[in-house]
Amino acid sequence: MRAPPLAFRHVASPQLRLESAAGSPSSTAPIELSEATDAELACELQAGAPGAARVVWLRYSPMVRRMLARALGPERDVEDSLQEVFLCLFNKAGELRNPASLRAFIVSIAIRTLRREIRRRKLRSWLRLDGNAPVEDLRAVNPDTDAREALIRFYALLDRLNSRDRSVFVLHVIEGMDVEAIASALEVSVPTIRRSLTRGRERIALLAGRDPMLVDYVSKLERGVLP
Amino acid sequence: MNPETKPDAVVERMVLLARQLGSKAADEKRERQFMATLSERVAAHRIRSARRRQFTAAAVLAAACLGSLFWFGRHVEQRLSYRISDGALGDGNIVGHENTSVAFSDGSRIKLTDGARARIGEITAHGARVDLVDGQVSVDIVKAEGNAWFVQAGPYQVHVIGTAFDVRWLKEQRRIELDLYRGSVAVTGPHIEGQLRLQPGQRLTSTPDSPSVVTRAQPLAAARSASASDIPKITAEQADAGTAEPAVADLSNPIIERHDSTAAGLTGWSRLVAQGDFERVLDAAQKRGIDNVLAAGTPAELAALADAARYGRNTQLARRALLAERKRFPGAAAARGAAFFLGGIEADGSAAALGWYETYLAESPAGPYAPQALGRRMMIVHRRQGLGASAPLAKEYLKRFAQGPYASAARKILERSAE
Repeated sequence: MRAPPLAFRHVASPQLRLESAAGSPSSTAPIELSEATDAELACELQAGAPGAARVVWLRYSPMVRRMLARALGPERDVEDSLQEVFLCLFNKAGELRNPASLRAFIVSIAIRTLRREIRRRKLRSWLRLDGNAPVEDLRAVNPDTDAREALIRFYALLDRLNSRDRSVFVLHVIEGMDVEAIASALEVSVPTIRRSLTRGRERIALLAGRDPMLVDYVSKLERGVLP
Repeated sequence: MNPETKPDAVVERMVLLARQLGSKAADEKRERQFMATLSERVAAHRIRSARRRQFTAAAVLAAACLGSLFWFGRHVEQRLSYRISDGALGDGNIVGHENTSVAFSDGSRIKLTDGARARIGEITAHGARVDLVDGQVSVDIVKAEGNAWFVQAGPYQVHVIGTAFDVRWLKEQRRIELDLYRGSVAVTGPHIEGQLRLQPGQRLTSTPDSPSVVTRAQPLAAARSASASDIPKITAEQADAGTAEPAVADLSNPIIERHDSTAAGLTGWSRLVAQGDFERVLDAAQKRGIDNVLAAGTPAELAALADAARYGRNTQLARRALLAERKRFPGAAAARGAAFFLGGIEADGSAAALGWYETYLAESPAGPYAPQALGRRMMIVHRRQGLGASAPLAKEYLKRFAQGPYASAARKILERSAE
């Protein structure tokens, strides 16, 4: 069964009236919009209401940032991808037919952006254009160097999956999204997503079980050698 | 390393670790910059997206154009070109001098003798039509699939299938002389019913007022000094009926393809085949329905269809047409000849081919294709059963066709079997 795609309508995207006021975004959001439902917010966004874009950003950027960070790994800076997701959203807001599905709409854009980014980085990696970025994100939350190293190794294994299998694995296993939502966002059938998930799980288990550093790290954790 | 650590446990632990990602606080400075320039960024993003779409569309269009060009490059055929050496032009004709020749881009070549006049009437990707106005030309055509070369000499047309021959057209006497050295040609014209196929070593002499004569070839230059009455001759009709006592045993048996001029005959498919326009015959048969033609076509139509299919390399259709000829008109000359052609379209050296040649020889022991049929039978037997089995056939061949096309092969077989 093919998952129903998100409802889009093909209308010209309205010219958004976006404030360019300086200052913290959170401090300038209109109160009535910040309390609006997703449907109301989407309608305001489509109508080009002042402040709507900012409220959408405030409401959903943490979720999208987390999703991107978990999907792309500790060595990746996700800010550019995050901004790309929202620029795309603001441009395509007019195509959202059912305003109540704003969240799903954003998730679908995020997943598409994510897959594009994975493909782009894989290409750059093949062409050896990818430099080694600092592991700032993980360092901020986990000062343990062994853990950081293990996580880098784990994401290197994820890099060996194709973009769909990797996205599905990360979104379902790490992010906790259900397969129906992923299928809907990717506009493929639920069985396709299940197959992709099974394939990704099996491959990652195989690769992780063969990685001596990961196995050593986890066995040390199990023996209580590491905190 | 703990060997009891299971892969699933490793993955589970790493997933827990990965879930810690993304909890880093937002970079307020970058957020502020982003929001401050949002309008411009949205506009720029829109332009970028539009450009990307345009680029994709252009790329698809370019790929389609390139694909089309590539396809046309492969499928649009380029006409042959030609170059005339040491010749002069007069009244639109090439006038031959001592070393006048026309070299075609496929390697084919035509030499004009001194005083000969010819023109390139039509040129295609697969050949040309050379209109021989007067005099003699030596033709050497490179054999290739789909060849369509013709020499038009007055009312006679020579369809060339990769060959070398001399042809002389004496305009005043309205007489054609053709010496075939290699390959095969099919000649149509007055007093030639259907088309006359010549074998290497044969000469055709024909005028519109008398029967065509096929004799053993002599170089035309040498023949010039001899009068026509000096040349032993048989008529095409005699040769076909097998009643003539040929001066030269095998070579005086021309391959004659008779078509019934009273039905489709010369004005229909037979003429198209004679002109080398096999495609039109096949198209016409398709329009009428192949099954209909096979079931209800006239003998001439069946023969023409079989020939067109054979020349057009449609083996399956040729086989069906030939079998239909044999089934519907048993005992007819065309049906007997069909056995020989069926042998030719079966796999080379196969038992099926051998069977058809034996059938032909049994039905037409003195038929026009007997030298070929017996020779091919001998070769297949030699290949399949060895020297011992082929030696009696070689002996028979030399006895019947001492100068036939398989004579040298027969001699070799006998020499080896005697060792």
